[in-house]
This record gives sequence, C-alpha cells and structure tokens, in this order.
Amino acid sequence: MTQPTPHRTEPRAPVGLPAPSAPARPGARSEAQRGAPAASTPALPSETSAAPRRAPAADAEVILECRDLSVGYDKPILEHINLSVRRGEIVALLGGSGCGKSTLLRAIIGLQPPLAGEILVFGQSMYGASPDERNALLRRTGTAFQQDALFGSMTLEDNIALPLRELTKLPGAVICEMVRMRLALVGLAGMAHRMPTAMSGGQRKRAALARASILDPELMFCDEPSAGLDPVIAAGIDETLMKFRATLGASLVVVTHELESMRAIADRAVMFAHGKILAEGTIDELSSSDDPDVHGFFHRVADPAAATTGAAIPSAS
Amino acid sequence: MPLQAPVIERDGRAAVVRLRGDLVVRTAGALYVRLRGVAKRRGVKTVVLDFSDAGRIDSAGTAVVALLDRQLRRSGKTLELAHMADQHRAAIELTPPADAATAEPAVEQGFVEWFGAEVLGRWAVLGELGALVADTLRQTGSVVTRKKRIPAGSLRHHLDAMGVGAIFIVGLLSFLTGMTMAFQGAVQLQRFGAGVFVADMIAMSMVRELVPLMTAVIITGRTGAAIAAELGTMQVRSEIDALKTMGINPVRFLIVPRMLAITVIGPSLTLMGIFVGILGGMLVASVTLDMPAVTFWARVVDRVTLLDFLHGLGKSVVFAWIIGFAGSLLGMRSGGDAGSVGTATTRTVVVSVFLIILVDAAFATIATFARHG
Repeated sequence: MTQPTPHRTEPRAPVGLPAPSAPARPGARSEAQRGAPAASTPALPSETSAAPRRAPAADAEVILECRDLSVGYDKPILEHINLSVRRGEIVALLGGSGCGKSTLLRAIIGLQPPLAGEILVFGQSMYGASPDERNALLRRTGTAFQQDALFGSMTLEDNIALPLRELTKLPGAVICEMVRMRLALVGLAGMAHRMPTAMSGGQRKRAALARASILDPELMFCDEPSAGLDPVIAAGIDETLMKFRATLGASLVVVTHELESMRAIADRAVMFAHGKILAEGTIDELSSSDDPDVHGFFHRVADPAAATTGAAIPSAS
Repeated sequence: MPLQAPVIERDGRAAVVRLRGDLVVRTAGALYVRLRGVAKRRGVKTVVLDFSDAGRIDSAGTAVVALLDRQLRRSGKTLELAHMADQHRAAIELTPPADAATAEPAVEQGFVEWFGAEVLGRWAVLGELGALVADTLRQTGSVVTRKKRIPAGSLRHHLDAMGVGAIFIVGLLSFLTGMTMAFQGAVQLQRFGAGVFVADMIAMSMVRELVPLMTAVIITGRTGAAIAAELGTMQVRSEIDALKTMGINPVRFLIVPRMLAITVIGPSLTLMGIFVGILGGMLVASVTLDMPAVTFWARVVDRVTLLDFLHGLGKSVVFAWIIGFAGSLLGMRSGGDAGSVGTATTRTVVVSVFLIILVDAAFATIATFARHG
C-alpha cells in the first residue's frame, strides 16, 4: 500500500516479550483454565505456537449457542444451524467462499437479524434483548473484521483506546498504558501515533485485533484474520490469537479458509457447505473424513462438480 | 493459414461445411455469419462441420461452434462435428453443456413490480428516517442530561469544520446579494420617488427570506455533502459495523455531534449573513441614493421586528435539521461500494435543496395566513 516497508521486515510477533507485560486481569479466568486438562486434542507441531495448547474441558460453560438458526438476506443461505462454543475454546468456521460463514458471523455479532432461530451469547438472547442489553452483551465480546475497519480519521492509539474511552471511566493515563501494552502484545510497539493509512496490511490486521481485544473480551470473533497475508505474518497473527486465549482466557471463533492457520490454532472446526453444517470435529477428524466435500477442502481437490465441461457436442465419426 | 471461404455442400437434409483455415478471433466473425446463413436454410436438418482442412482454433472459434450448436438445437436441428484433429477436440471439450452455459435468468420487471418496489422502497426510507430521528432525539436527550457522552472534542471539531470554514463564503455572498438588491431596488423605487424605502426592502427580504435560504444552500453543499460522504465511507469500510459490535451506538457517536453542531451553525451563519447583507445594501444606498448610513440603519431598526428575526432564524434551524438528517440517513444507508458513496452525496444535496425550498414555501404561506387571519 502506501507503506514502502516490505512485509518481511515486520517483527514476527513479540515472542520475546517479557511475560509480566501481558495484561492479566484480576481474577482472570485463565487461571482456572490453566488447570484444565489438555484433553482430547492431539499435540500440534509445536513450533507454530508460543502458547501451549489447552483445549477446554468438555464440561466448560457454553458461552455461544446457535439454535436452529437460519441466516441470509432474502433467501436463507444457511438453515437449521445448531452450534455451540465453550469457554476457552478456539473454533474455526470453515467453508468455501460464499457458503454463508461471514453472514452467520454477522448474525452472531448482532449486525444481521437471523431469518429464524435463536442466538444465545453468555446464555442471553442476542436479538431478544433490548438495545442496551445487547450492547452490554457485545461489550463482553470483541470482533476483528475482515477489512480491518480501523477508523481512518484516528491514529492507531485513538483507534484502540476508543472502546475504553467510550465505555469506561478510566483516567486517560491508564488508558494510554493499556493501549501501549496491547500494542506490544500484538507486535506493534511504538506505532501508536501512526495513521491506519500509513500501515501495511498485516499491521492493520494486528491493530484490529488489538482494538477488538482491548476490553478483555470473553469471546472474540475474527473474520479471516490472516487472509491475504504472507505466511510469516499469518503465523504471527495465529500466535497473537493463541496469546489472547492464554493471557485473556478468551474463546475465539475464527472464520477462515487457511488450512495452515486452522491446524495451528483451532481446537475444533465446523465446516459449512450447501446451506448447512457439513461436518464438525477436530481438525484431524475432519481431514480424515470420507465426505468428498470435506476431503476436497482439506486436501485441495478441485470440485469435480465444477468441471462440467466436455462432450457437449456430438461428433460424427 | 488465413480463413478461406468454407465449402458448403448439400447432402440431402444435411449441409456439410468444410472449414478451411484458422478459426480464430480474426476470422470467427465472418465464419459465424456464414454458418448462421447455412443453419437458417430451409430443409437443412443437420449441419456437419468438417474439420479436415481446418487450422488452429481458439476461444472465439470454439464459441462460434458452441453458439451454432445451441441455435440449431433450439430450432430442432442438430450439429455434427467431423474429422476433428486432437487440437480441435481438446478445444471443443472446454465447451460447457448447453444448460450450464446459460446464466440464471435475469428477473424481468414489469411496470407493476417496478412501481410497487418504488413505493415500498420510499416507504421503507421514511420508516428508517423516522427511526433515525427518534434515535437521535433519544440519544441527544441522554447526552444533554449527562447520562451519556459524545466523544470528547467532536462537537468542537464539527463546529469548526462546519462553521468557521463557511464564514467567509456566507459573508461574501450575503454582502453581494445585499449590494445587488440595493442597486436594483434603488432604480425601481426611485421612479416612484420612494428611494428611501430601499432600506425597508433590503432588511425585510434579507432577514425573512434571502439569507436563511442562501445560507442553507451553502451549508447543504459544504456540510450536508460532507456528512453523507463521511458516513458513507465509514459504512463501506465497516467502521460503523465495528462501532456497533463494540456496543457503541453509532447514532450517539457519529450523528448526535453533527446534529448538535449543525443546529448551532445554521442560525449563527444566518445571523451573520443578515448583518453583512444589510451592510452591503447600506453601502450601495449611501453611494447611489446619497442616503446616509444613519438614516438607512434607523429605517431598518424601525421596520424589522423581533418576530421577523425569529421567523428567519427559526427557518434556518429547520433547514439545518433537514440537511443534517438527509446527510446522515443517506450516508448510513449507502451500500458497500465506492459508487454508492457518490450517489449518497449527490442525493443529499438534491433532496436537501428540494425540501428546503418546499419548507420555505410552507413557512411563507403559513406566515401570510397567520398575519391576515
């Protein structure tokens, strides 16, 4: 973009960050989870992530639930979706382009009323709530959009401080310090006074993550956090997401179709196709699935149904 | 190998076309016309394309063959391909089957559907406008009663951008209008020996009509368009969605500061314009009519009542609201692409100016009846 610096020179996420600078909330939930057994999840290639992988216990509290949900615009794109996310879990929503996963996400975060069904966030109905109650629910979540959605008229610091300034009564100095800490966590230390237009795509994506996480959300949504980024920066983003879980105890719902990224972070994946949930399970379970659509997605096979050419015109011999 | 005219032979109900030369972009047009002619001939049931002398075939050539196939099939005829070389066969195999090649049918809209959609669309916009106005009032209420805040510094920023920048242009235009009216008025009124009334005329028209209207048009162009463009761009870049998901009301965050600012700016600029306009008239009157400034001013003060001022300033507040809400609504409604931001901006200006003149007429009518009734 306008940034002459090539992506490669970006630091690879602040692995060397001293641990105390990670903002630990008083009575952080992560303490409780640290004791949770790393059940049922196979060990992942460990060099891709700094934070240890800890799947939540199977009886952890359900913090997001979709019941018989249909979403779409005029016609439903996805129908009869039942989905739940437990505290501390990282769930990937997968599917080809146009399968409705972004529309589903818009419904979950309150931007697009569903055609039918119910969405429960922290046990409360998203669309049954009054506007004030819905805002209260949303403040316990954080969303990083596919486009970074940073406010173009504000500096990076003002962007990230915005939720704090608007929604809390913290003094300015504390807010600045929190922003500084969060920028360091996502590897953008020292860039507080840049304008979003003077940053590279990868930097903006990380800034969006920093803003989405500034209120220490219990549940974070990321729409294609590493799409269109080079592998090194994408790995940095994955690491940042893992760090959010480790330090904030956040559950994450990640919309993605990056296989590598998914393998690195997700405890569980839900795959959408043909207007419904096609498959659900751990990445290993899905990648060894027999279903042709799931198999094709995980093993990069072109859709046989799409190759509808050939022999249309009879040839006289 | 250039395309040579294909040799066409009739074989009973079949027409055998022996293709000669390359079937490529350069030649496909002429070939298509020839083949179309053959296909339309009466009595021809089957067209056989003989590839034995054909050269290279590219996408255009393939398309001609596929198109011919579909057209023949539609009229109950058939196409056969003969003596294809491997390269021809490979190219033809890329042709999708006829059903896949046709796009989803575009929805044909008759007049009734169009009219109904228009009416429903307008109705929906009115509903959205109502919701926006209600939400703005509610949020403004909670800001005024200090239950909630608007972003620090935003009111100042908007007052500065909307007001300070417009002082010069509003002042200049009002001054020039005052001068022009004085020139015109002096010529007309002097013929009746009533030159002294030019002061009355200028004062009344400036206070009640001209300056509120002119200022509103300038604010529309400067501020209304800017509001629509800013909000539209934020919508396109999902910044407004981001606010919503943070649990921040975008109306309070974005629209309330702008509405508060424009409510102050509209009458303020109008007030300034009125004085500068009268000043312009005074200047011309003292030069062309030898009318001392003191006399002019005395007549103005004598003629213009507080009610006239309230009429002019009250109108300017209503105009400001029209501009602010039009810009906000159309900006927030703009769709996902850059073109829609442009449309929102243009429509804001057109809708605002139209409504301003409409409301101005309503004000004049009501005021006239109120005075006589």
